[in-house]
Amino acid sequence: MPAAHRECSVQSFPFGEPHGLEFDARFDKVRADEPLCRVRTPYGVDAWLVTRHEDVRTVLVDPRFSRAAGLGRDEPRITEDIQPRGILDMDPPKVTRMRRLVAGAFTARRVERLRTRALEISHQLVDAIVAKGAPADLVADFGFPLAVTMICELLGVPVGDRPEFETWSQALVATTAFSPTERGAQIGALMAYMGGLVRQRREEPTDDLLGALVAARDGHGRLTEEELIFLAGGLLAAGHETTATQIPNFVYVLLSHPDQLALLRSRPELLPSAVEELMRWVPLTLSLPVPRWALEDIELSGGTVKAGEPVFAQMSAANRDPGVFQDPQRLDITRRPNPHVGFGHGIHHCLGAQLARLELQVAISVLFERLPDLELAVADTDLKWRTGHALRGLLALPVRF
Amino acid sequence: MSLPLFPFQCPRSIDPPPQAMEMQAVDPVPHVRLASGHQVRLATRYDDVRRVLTDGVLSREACVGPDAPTIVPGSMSPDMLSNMDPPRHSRLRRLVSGAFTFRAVDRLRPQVELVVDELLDEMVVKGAPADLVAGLANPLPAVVICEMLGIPRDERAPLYAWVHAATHPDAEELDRATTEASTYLLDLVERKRATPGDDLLTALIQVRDAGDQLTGPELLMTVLTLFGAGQETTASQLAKSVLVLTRHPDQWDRLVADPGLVPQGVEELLRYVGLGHAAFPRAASTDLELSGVAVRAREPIFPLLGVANRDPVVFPDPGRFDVTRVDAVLHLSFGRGIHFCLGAPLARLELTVALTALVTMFPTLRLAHPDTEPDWNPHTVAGGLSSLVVTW
Repeated sequence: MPAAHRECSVQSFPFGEPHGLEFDARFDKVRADEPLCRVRTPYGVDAWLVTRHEDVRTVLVDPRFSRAAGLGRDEPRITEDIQPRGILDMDPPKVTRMRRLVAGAFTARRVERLRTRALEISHQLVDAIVAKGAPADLVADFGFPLAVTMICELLGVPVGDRPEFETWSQALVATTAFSPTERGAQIGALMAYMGGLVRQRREEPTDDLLGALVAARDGHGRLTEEELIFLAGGLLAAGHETTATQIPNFVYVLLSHPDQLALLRSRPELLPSAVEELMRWVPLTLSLPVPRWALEDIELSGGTVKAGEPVFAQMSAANRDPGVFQDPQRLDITRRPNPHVGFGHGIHHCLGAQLARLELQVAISVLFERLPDLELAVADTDLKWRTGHALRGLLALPVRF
Repeated sequence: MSLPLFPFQCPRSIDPPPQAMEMQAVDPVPHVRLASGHQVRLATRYDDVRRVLTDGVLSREACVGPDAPTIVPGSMSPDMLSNMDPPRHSRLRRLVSGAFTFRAVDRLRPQVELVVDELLDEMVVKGAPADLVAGLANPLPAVVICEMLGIPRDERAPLYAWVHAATHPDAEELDRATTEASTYLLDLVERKRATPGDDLLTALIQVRDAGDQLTGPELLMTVLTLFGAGQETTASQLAKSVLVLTRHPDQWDRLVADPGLVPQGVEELLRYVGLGHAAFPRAASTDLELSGVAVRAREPIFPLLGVANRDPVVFPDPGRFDVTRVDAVLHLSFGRGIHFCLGAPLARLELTVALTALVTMFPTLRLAHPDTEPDWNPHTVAGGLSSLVVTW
């Protein structure tokens, strides 16, 4: 009944900033009552919101939904300025070409070889935490340095330059935390820095990922200089902001679900399954999903999206769809099957998913193995959460052990 | 009383035919008849199968030729390495294996990894559900063999068409595709002779053993055999391995939790998954005894590898699938003796790389239609699947 839905009232979107990692119950209501929901964002044209697992997957995977079609349009968004998203603004075949270049570096085998390194770094960080004594902050003392060191080593970015690009890359995933001018300046600085690293590699080839990307660009002229630098900057930012945020999130969720933590401790083989379930359960993104534009009229479960209309596919809502996940609000580390879309779906499926899985698995196993008495050092209600940021996460996670 | 017809008519399955398992227990070297009318013997027990494969009194040549018993049409050429006895076999095998050593194959690892990565990323991009046969199992061996041989990417169409035709029912189409593939390969051999490359085909052209080298027909037959022996077997084994793992989620989870277990899991999968009805038959030059049963000289014997792999004398609780089974590597799936699969290192490499990538990239992988019987392809020698639709 597409016509009926078109008469529904337009809802303000995002619905609001829920506290901590709370899942916004309004998504459950919309999923049940209005699977194709009209929404209005602070800036840009009105859009559709889909929340059902099936619809979310369709919007993400069907090539008739385009990202590139949004360029030059008044995209629905939170901030006044339109933020370029690099590879996320591309459609095939361009994105396929970029993906190909990076995929070889990020997929199973090279990442598996990084497992030993992830273990080493995690143990060193725990050594330092133990040496310093409680309380420790698992954001600054663990999650962040682990994720940053891993992505830097993979890319070939000097870890010593870290403090600078921490700010730069935070700007890349900020929503309202930076002013547009400030944000632009920070991203510009990140890109200038990456440009320098690219030039170095042109003079002196390296076998790190950045060197491989430069070689691919120079060897086949397949990437423009700008594309290359933006891709590398994007990888650096995306590669640590997300994982650095999720590691403390996962630790916090496990600490607040003692039954699941006890189960994991008694059955360590559940670790990969636990990481998948945490990927499903934690609604990581706070900002808007990246809208997809319909290239033709497309039927979804709640009605028709007309050609030229933008759609938001709410992945966190798909991950709580009771039609797919039994008792979806429950954290169940033994859940199977678990077709979550925590890493997205389709052509823009997270390129670094393997690296993220490995880091999350290693981080959880090392922390809870080395620090068996790990617990929050402050009351849950005193934890400080980030605001104005695309990703939900803790500013600090003070723990005792 | 008429003899049972072999291959046994039974539903396609990962497990060996119940009839064969019963024979292993009570009548281990039975007489059976083939559709061609031949009366032959089967070897079903591990020790008997191993002996048939390794004992020098048993000959392959004795079971080759226009009137020889076979269950695999088109496998009767006396010029195929697998159909020869020493000394002819020894000479050719030495020449070919010179270019096909474990080391030469292991050098291919990065290429195989890249091929797998590209195929799986395509699967990710297209989204779930996906057909693992069309997306991974079928293209992987074909692409890897082409890469190995140094066949340029834009020239592979006739080879892929031939590989495709080989598992489809149209015999004329297969003949045509075989001719086209052969014509292409002969031309490529000439080009590689003129302009050698860093590839297996050049190596095969250049191999020399004390002044001896491969003749033109031997070279072509060897290359065709690479596809014939390496394509369908690996594709079937890979697809069926995933089928078995999705049916044993606890075992899948063990590999997800520790991808380092994959090489061991690959051996158990080679043991557990039956590949075809039987190995090529052999016949003895003298009377002999297998499991106390007298077998006459010149009586053809088909060794049932998959049945031997379930022999409880060697593999305790043989029907149990366990990726950590320590002695799984004793399986006979690559044969034994002088005809031991030349491509075993390559098959192991492809299976290990593919399964490692699957368990790390798709930890939540499962069948899209778990309650329906998989889509068996009746036109495959190895008992393959036409499709295997998975989701994640």
